[in-house]
Amino acid sequence: MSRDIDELINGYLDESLSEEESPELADWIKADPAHARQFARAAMLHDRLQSELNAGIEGDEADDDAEAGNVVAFPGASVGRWLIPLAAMIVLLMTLLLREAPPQKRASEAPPEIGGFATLAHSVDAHFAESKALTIGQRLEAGAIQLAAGLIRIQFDSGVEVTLQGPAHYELLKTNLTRLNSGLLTANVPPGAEGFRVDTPTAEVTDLGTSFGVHLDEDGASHVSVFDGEVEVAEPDSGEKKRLKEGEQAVVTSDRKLESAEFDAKPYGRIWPISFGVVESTGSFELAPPWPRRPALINSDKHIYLFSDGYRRRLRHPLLVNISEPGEVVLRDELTPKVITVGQIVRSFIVQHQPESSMPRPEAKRARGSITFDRPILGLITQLEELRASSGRFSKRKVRGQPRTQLEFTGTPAGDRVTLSADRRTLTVDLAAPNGSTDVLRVIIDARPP
Amino acid sequence: MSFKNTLMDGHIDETTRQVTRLWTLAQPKVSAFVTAVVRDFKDRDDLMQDIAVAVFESFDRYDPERPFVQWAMGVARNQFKVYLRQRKRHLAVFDPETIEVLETAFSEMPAAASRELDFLQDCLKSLDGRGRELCELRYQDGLKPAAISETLKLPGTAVRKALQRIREQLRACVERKAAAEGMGS
Repeated sequence: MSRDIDELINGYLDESLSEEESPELADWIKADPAHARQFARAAMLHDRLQSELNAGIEGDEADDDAEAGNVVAFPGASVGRWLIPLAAMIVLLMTLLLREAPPQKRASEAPPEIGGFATLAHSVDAHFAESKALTIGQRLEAGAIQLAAGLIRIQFDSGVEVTLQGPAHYELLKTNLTRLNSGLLTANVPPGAEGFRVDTPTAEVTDLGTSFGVHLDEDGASHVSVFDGEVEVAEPDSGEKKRLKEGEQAVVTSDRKLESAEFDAKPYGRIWPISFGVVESTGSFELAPPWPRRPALINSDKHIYLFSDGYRRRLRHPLLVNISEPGEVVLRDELTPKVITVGQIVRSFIVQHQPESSMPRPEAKRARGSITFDRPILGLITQLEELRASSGRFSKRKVRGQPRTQLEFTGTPAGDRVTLSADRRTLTVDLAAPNGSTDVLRVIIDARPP
Repeated sequence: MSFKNTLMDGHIDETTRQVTRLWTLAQPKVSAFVTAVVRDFKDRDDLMQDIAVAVFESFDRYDPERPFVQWAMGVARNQFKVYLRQRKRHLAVFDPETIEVLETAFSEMPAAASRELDFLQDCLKSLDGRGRELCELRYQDGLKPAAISETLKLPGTAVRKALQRIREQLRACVERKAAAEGMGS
């Protein structure tokens, strides 16, 4: 045995075994049932560690009182994994069995038969030059994309989402390596896919867990803006590097100088909604700007703001939503609660109406509008208990304090109204925020690739 | 299927209670078995969900004379095969014979081995700051040692060694606590 067996076992658990070492470990396991038991116990500890530490995330980020009830850990996590009351367990199992997609269907969701490492998720008025036209749902492998005009969003199997604005020339090289030769893009890189790289003729941009934008100007300079998290920008010739945090920007000039720059999100105005899957908004709806991102700071009598809350992610715990069916909700007993099951890939958005004036007013300020997504809305969270339970589940940082208010479905002139369209893509709200209060709801989108 | 229909009616019958109870007990072992044969955290979650559904849907084929864990482990193995076929991914690190040996090891594992891990949460509190940080990077953020070493600016070997030591420390801690409670395995 060339390596200490404990090192091999730990190498397996840390996914750092080489191709030669895996069979070496397998041979050791097979050699003696006691070996198999030793490995089994190590795997069990590893499995439980993962559960315990991830159960902790929810506990840390949501208030303690938010854990009661609907954040029940199953089957991956465990604060209460061994203590789940039977009734709760049964409810979970019912939801497992009643979920929309049967396991066979869900398992084939990432098209396994077709090659490639990304999928064209969405396109808006896209025209392609030279290269063949791409269609939504098409698998993409290594190759160049010549986008003459319009916008497309590419969903990588790794979870990374890239939105490209034409005219642009963009090359997919590997699952975590791409190259922007001209044009403008934004990238959303969820936890776990860090290291995703966008090279340009003058710069190498490496993600460190983030959302960022890159664009090349007419002079050939590469501008990098960070909306969330952190990226590293390098000038490959000199090896000079700079780390950028959210709200920071840098430029690598055509003569290869790496410089800090004033943050300017304006070039991303058009691509911004598409990168979040927002097709259209009307009335008072506005997509919150890339920066600043703190909802508490954004007050407006006129606008209802939509904030992206974290990254596309796979649910590790069931998520209880208050409205799950198309139609209008005016009264509280018209709510259609449902559990979204573990394993579903979702994205979360927050809709906020926070009037700015704190002066007492005789009546509530009303704001109306609708917003259309390119993917179906799985559910809406509008009630206090569920808002609190879901707070902090989607983005690691706390974008806001615990919600204190909920939508009031009273049917009175001061009540709130919410409508989910028949195709589940459009949300229409008519919100009344009484004095000094804020209306907040969470929108859960089905984020599976098309 | 009748079982499913029962659930749809919103009525919970005795069979449902029984399978729920049995599965609650078997699940830690099945989950650990899946961990032993599938390394990727996300794939494991997916597979565990498929297994849970399969266990409930095929419960009418379970022979009560046999140990439930063994039967559930068989269901898990079948689902794993289906999973490999559908995904065509190189999820399987081990050859079928090794997987079978591991399946047996988990089936026969004493219940105490899984119960003593209930002390893990307490033991995690005993880790120092760096140990806790490493655990979080590995288990919460799902980073591999190479990425952790980049984040913490530590050599890769130091990270791998440290993770190994943390597991040894936690193992010793849960065994100590279990022994103190008179439930050593």
